[in-house]
Amino acid sequence: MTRGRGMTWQGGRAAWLAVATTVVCIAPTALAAQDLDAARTAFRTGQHAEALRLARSGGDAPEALRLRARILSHTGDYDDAIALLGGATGPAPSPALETVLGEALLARGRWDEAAAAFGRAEAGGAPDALTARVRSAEMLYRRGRRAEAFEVFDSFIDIYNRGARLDAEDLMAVATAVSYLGQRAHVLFQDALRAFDEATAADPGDPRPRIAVGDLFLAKYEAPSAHDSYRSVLAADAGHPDALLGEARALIFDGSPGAMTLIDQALNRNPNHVGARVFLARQRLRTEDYDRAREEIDRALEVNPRSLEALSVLAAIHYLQGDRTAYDRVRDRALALNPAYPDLFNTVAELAIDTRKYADAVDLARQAVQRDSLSWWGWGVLGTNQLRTGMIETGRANLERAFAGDPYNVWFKNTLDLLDTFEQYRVVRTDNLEIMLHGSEADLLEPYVTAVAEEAFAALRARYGAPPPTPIRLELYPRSADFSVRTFGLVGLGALGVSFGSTLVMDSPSAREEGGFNWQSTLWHEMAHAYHLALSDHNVPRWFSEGLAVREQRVARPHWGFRASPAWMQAYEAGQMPPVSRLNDAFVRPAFPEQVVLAYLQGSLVFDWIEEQWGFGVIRAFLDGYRTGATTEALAREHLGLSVDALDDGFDTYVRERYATEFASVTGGLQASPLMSAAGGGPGPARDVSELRAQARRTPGDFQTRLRLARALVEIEAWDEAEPEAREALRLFPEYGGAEGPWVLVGRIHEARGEIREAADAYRAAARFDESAVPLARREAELRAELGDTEGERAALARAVEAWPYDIEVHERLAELHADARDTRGAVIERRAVVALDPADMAEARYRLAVALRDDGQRDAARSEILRALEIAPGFDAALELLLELRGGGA
Amino acid sequence: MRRAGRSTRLLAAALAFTAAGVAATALPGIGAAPAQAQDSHLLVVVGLGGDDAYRERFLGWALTLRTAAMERYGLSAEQAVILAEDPEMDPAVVGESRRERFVAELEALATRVSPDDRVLLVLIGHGSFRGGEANFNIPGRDLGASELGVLLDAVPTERVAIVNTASASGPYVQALSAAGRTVITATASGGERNETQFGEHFAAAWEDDQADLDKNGAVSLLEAFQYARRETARFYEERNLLLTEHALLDDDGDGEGTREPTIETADGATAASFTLGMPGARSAATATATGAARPIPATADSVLARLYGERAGLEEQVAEFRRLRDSMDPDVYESELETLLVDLALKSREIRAREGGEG
Repeated sequence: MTRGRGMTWQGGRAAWLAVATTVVCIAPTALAAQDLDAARTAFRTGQHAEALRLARSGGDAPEALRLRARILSHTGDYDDAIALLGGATGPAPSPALETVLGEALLARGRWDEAAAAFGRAEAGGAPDALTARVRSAEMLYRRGRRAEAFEVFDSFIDIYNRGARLDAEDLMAVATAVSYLGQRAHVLFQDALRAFDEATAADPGDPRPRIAVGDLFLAKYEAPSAHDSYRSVLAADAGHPDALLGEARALIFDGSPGAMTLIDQALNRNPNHVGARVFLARQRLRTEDYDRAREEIDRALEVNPRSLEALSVLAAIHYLQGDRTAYDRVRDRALALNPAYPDLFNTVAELAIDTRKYADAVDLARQAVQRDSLSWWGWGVLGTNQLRTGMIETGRANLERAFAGDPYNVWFKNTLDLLDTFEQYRVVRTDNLEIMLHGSEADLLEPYVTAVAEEAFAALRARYGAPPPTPIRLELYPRSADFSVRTFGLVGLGALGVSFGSTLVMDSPSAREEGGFNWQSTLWHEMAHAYHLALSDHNVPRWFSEGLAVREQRVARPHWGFRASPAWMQAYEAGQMPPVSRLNDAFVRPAFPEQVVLAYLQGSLVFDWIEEQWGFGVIRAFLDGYRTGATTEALAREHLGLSVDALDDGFDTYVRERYATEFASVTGGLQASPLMSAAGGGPGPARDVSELRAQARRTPGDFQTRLRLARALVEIEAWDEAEPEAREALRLFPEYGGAEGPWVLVGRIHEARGEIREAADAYRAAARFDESAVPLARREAELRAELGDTEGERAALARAVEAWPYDIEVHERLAELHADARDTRGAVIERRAVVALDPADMAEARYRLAVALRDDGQRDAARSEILRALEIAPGFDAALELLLELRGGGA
Repeated sequence: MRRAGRSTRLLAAALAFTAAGVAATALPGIGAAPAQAQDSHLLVVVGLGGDDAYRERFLGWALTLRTAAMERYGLSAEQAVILAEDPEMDPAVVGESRRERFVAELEALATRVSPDDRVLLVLIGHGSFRGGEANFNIPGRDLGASELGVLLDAVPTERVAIVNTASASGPYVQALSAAGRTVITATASGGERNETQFGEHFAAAWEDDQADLDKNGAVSLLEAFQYARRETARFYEERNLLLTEHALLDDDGDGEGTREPTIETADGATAASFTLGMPGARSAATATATGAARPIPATADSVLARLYGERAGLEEQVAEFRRLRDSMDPDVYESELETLLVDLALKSREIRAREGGEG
């Protein structure tokens, strides 16, 4: 142990002798011992009936009773365990049974009786007296008597350091105590891990230390190590409730599916597992399913009415439903049990974050750290949410404090490391925004970002009527990993942008490969969220805000946003997509990886329907309704006149009518065609042409078959046969975009025939359904140039720049076209982009920018730019002449 | 006031410098000393390609370079020589790039080069690094960097530049570094063994004005390097690839290459004054001493000759004045720079009027 001398353990060596004596006195017969070993093995491998049967053969021997009680507690039969040990009426028959009795009583919230049992175990020199001691200390801690608790925890260091021989049970006790001490001296977390490892080494079959290690890792956001620990337990006993709960938590942490199944398994073993019920309630809350969350918490509190964790979630349920009176009542009930309990506030804060109430999280975390200044979780929640709400410096300071107390927390570390890089960023201020751009690309992006961000702000303001709080802070990260850390403290987030309200964070265009996404469209989407969150006071359900934001993308630019895809139709038809009333599930607990993407699309179609049918005012009324705490169900009834079922049915009717042809063309051949990719990409490699021809004859109305056949025919340059196939695919699914879609095939066919205008038109048609089709835009521009269609070329290049602003040649050409069209401001923007991209010939680039500035009437800026060109190339005659011109024609 | 005083002092220094510069323009040879008439010699050695695609690619770069040298810079066929793996591939290839022919060409150069001439040796192909020595792979036995150094030492001019565009070429910097000699390698070390792109862009740099970064009418070796380095980086960026080649330039003889040389860094000044000549000029134009000004065309018109000299002097002054940028108040710097540039602009007008162009 790394700490210096602490308190002396009062029991000392004499107590150890007493323990040894007791063990000798209660040792069972040799035969019973064999049965007990077999019972223990059965218990540890999940064979509980067999374990109980074998343990019963030990009769009333304390070891046998102890094991039976543990098995009963493990399966949630706490009262039976208590009764077995006589705890229902008084002390257990032996001190050796008091600790197990105390643990069962504790599980039922019978604190005073539990404390008495632990006290008797310790005083009676029970073999697990150290466990009883640490449980007593945990109870003190749980009651808020922190100083007393820490005194006891502290004593375990001396016990360990004294070098006495400790068995696995004792090492578990030491490790548990030391993990608490880690709150005060973080280095002790390492010691706790070591002690848990020693406990495992001493008794490799005991799952408890490995579960504890998993919990410790997960608390420090080390999910891979946590998985290893839990899975090692589950390998021996696949139904171990604590390991299943840990693994489920780790899966949620990873954003991986499957957690709910594990919890079902855990509750199948132990229906009274309070931790599992609390976990389940939290998951229900994430989908804003308050009723089912409440059901779980009620069941948890039935088992243990003093569960602080359950009470915290109950408080959160009330808080998130806006029932502050009930919240206060539950909060006071929890604080009466433990006046120093910070985690009620931390729990409510975290659940508030799940529903995007970041400012609330700040307030709650502040209360947590006021209760307990050692709540590093609280300081971390406070700091990260201050960062999310734009309080950068205060947030950083509080995060520093959290990290000082808990330096193993990778979330804290990653975020602080990221904050250290903020000095490399430039902050640009516009009328309504504060935009943070990396210095390496700020010159390039600034004009585009400021233009589209202000346009989005104004357009959405006109639509929604009231703006979100300003300035909107918009941060663009050239590394996806940094965006991910900024969002949730860890790398690996697959999203493109996040809105925390008036703080928007996203990938910059350089964070992804060309064509990977359209950052302007993403920016618009996040800006829409800022409006939704502000207007609903952060009460809008996620499905509503996401769906509506996608619709806003399409309203802004027809080629932006998701479109109805074959993949969605197939999933919808196969019953894999939830109805509107349960669409939130697909966002917070997707049943399959693509479900989230498909849910964005489906959500957006809901708003197509609502706006077409009832008008935008209804959508606005929903947001106002959410602000007052109304549910979707109530709002649908009030504003649409629809019950939940009618809402679901109405949407179903709408999409089936709107996409009748498409549905028929992609779901008719469902058996023959695999699920198309969620992003609307290609339906797989082309197969043998003759086979595809035959298939097309069998299923002439199947879109995928037609598309595959058209593609295969294009590949073998059978242009004339390919065209009708591609056009039939278009008829069946007119909005199918993408690089491998039928419009592109039509374009290639026309190009092959030298029909340039038709080819260009086909590529432009394809681009209508693909927001990031940069190569298509470039190709169309080349064809328009061949045709002398400068306006068409200009429009195509503008689309290319919109999604991918890193191509110098595109900017140069676009600048020329703007200048020819007398769009002097556009020419300046493109010339600035060329300079920002650090061309090899910088003098030329600056000269051309100076010309554009002059043409735009910005003579001072032009003069400054021409000086910079001539500084590089003093012999640049054209630039020298321009300098003289800008000075009025002479010296 | 401290701030005003400081500005005044800087302004005074800048003005004093400008005055000295103006005086110098009246005396060609101080600010812009023309060198003696110089000839340029280009030897391109194309190594083993390994397959047809590489053979054609490498020879294509060599031909680009030779064509530019002849058509833009006026070198004769004898002055622009290519050796390659397969002489049958193109009539411009005068021999096989075996060690014996390579050595013979260098020895021949040594006999015909004058002390003021410029020699540019360019190696195109694959390289290797084994046993602590970098090699440029040619048919037959390779010619090591140390052996090449001995041969180059025999060439009777200091204005020799060697450009090794091959993979693993980095060690050539230390092996060949010498006073007055420019050594360029496509990679920073022998460990950078992936195929390189630098050679393609280095060759392209001479084709037209796109690499004439200072717009003085001629591409210098420094500009060709800068251009090739940026375009190489862009090649990797556009494909989202890690940059696996980091070109170096050494021209101060210290054996240490610089990745981003400029005319103002320790490495870069010599390369800035190294050109193949004046584009379009059949008679040799003279480069100015530092390379910061455009080469001075030969003319029988004494007035024009004086004007050329004065213009070159002003261009040199701008280059010198740039060095003060970081130590000056930005507004003062810009104002003074503008004054110099206006003088230069007016001088250029005067020249064009004298040449018969527009004033």
